[in-house]
Amino acid sequence: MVLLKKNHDVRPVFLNLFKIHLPVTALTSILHRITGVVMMLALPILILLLYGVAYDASMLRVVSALPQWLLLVSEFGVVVAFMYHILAGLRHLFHDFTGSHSLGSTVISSWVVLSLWLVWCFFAIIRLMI
Amino acid sequence: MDNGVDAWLVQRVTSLFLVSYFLPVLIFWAITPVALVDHWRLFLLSSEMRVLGGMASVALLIHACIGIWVVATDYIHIDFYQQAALSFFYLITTVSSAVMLVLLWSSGTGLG
Repeated sequence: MVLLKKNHDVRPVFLNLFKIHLPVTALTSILHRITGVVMMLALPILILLLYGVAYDASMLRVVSALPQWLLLVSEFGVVVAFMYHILAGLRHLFHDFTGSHSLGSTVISSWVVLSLWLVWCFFAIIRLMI
Repeated sequence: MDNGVDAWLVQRVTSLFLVSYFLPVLIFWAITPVALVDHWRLFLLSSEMRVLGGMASVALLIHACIGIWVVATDYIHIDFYQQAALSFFYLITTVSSAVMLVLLWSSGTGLG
């Protein structure tokens, strides 16, 4: 952004990320974007697993030869990213198609999404411990 | 797709196909703690999940390409890097979607 600044643009640039207050709705939004990109990066690996399941189980033995902690962390990352993106996406649909756009309602729906997601994260950790 | 309103609507319609496939997958993951390959095979290659998955693979391509375009054009303001990033993500999504569709379309149950 700074690179694109024109000479006539004299607005102050304040990019201390630790001092910018991030509203809960902004947190919900940026996490939706991050999880979207994360899922796209994970997609080829997931398709590889699908190939292993559908055709060639030896593919899965190669995958399971990876370090256990790496597999657990990846599995956790994928399931929480997918669930977050789904929850935040449903929140979008809710606001888009009910016409409810007030600040109050979007703050509440943000907390609902984050709460449900944290429950899922907690559940996923337990599920992976079994 | 000529304008942002079309993209906006397409993004929402495709999301319904995606959630109808991936939510069942996540729930299956959650309730099957010791899932073996055969469990996954029976589930993912059942005729219901094949149909949902086939539609999801097409929806995925559209949804992900619109999504990454929105994100990349927001944050990457140097043409070369923006195009490079978009090309990379378009490529992995196109290949993944195509392979997913072919896998679900063509594979047997593998259980005899």
